[in-house]
Amino acid sequence: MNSPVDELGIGLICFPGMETAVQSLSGHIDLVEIEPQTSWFTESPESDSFRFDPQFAATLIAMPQPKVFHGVGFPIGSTLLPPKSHFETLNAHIDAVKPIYTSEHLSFNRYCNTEGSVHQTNFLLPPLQNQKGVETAVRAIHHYKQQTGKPFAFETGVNYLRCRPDEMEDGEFIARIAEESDAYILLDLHNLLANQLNGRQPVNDLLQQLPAERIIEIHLAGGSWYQDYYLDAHSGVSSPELLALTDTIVRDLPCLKSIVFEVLPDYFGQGFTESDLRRQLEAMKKIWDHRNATAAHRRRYERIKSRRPVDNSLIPEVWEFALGNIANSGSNEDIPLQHELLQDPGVAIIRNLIFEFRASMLVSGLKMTCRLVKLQMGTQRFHQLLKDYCATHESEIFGYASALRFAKFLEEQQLNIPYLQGMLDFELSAAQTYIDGKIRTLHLSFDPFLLLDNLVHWQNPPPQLSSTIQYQVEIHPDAPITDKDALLRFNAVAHM
Amino acid sequence: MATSDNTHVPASNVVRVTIPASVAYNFDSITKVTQTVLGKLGCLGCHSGRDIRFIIEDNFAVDEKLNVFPNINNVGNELAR
Ligand SMILES: [Fe+2]
Repeated sequence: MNSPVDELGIGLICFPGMETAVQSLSGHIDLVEIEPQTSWFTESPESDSFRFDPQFAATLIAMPQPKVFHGVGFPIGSTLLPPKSHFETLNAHIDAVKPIYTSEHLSFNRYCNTEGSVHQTNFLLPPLQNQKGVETAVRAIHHYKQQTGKPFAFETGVNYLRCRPDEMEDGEFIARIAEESDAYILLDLHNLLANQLNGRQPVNDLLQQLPAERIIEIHLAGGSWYQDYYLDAHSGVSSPELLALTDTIVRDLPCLKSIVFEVLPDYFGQGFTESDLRRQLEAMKKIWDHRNATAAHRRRYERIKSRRPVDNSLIPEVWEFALGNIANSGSNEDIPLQHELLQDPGVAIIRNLIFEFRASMLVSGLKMTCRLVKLQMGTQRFHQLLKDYCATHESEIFGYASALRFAKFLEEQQLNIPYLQGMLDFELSAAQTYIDGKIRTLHLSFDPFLLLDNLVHWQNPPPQLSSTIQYQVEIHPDAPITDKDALLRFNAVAHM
Repeated sequence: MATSDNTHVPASNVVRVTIPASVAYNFDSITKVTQTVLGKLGCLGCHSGRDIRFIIEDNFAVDEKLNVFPNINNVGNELAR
């Protein structure tokens, strides 16, 4: 049995870069939730070993709130279990930060093709919803719990696909997995509302099918519309609709321990402010005060089993390959399941989002290099270059590995762009220094500050920038600096 | 000559660069914008929405003649308003 978890209260997911916001709103935050892998690194695309960032871990340890881990990158809806090294790093991270429990997503993001090679989708995809899908998740959860020894909750996922007529209903699928694996449920109400708005099971019907006593955590977020789909974008405050829905739901949840807000740090400075965050946390506190308010005999959610017939002939490996391959822009119309999935308009949405995920990783991992290439090629050709890259190169879930792979691709293109090699060396060296803390010295034939200044202002660097002078550029990990220092500071992790 | 301060190496999650002191540069503007030069090196956070880092980079467009202009209809620009 999962060990019991104490009541925690209102929480916020803290990404690297959100430390200041968490500290300044500390009085509104009872727990800090961390997606541990967002501060992990791999040394190369080929590497299966990971390291967590000790500085960020130290910051988290210093925060007075209890911590909870919310895993990303290794979801439990998959037939492919994470590598051993994942749990080694996760356990080291757990030892350091001491989260009360861990959670992961009821999704998959890797698949094995017919030749037996494993591919990454860089996107959380919905698992096969039948009894074999249930068994797959149960196996992965047992493995996760056994490897970490921590209480475990799985998160209800977002699903942009249409309902299939012979699949298990969303609520029944979640309920069976929770019961058969003896896991807690992390009810992501924003995901479930997105599913409802996109035509899947209404949230209230879904909740009727759940074992309410297993729901220990709620996730809230904000989203946005994109081509008739409501996206789980984590782009701002929760809608009044979601807050009202949550307020009615928590009253009937007897074992709720926390309500946690998710927003991406990228939206700070893009219209989302600290006072928005404060208002969101205050609204959540009011909702929290209504938890378990309904008398036991009047509670609405009592695990009503679904009677819908389910086709159990399909196996998860086939589903993962079909959907994974399609998501990665493959298509084999001869395979009936792939043919069926290709008729689903949600597939085009998933493909677009995956392209933007991958392109975002590249343009932020090698930001100034990409800007230089765009300035020298034009937007259209640059976008085509990104599309060509994504069509021919494997996806990576780690930013640094992704940057390395793309750097190699750019070198192979022989683009004949001035300063390109120097800029690539500069950005990759800075990334390496961020990861390993070692000082690096680069020798460039141009003044990197002048080049950066041009790129920052979206100006094509003039040819005369090139010089016979060798510039020695030392890159070191940050130290406290004063205004007098002639130093360029920049941050290796996406920040507000 | 480069300013160097090896004694403070381990500090925080910020990378710094030292360069010849004679270099002319606009410190403020560079510091402000290059805070996100490297973007994320770790795993992507959990969400299933649009990754706006790519969209924000398209706030400026470059045409075939390599003229640069603000892409006023871009979602990233709308977000920033
Ligand atoms: Fe979530």
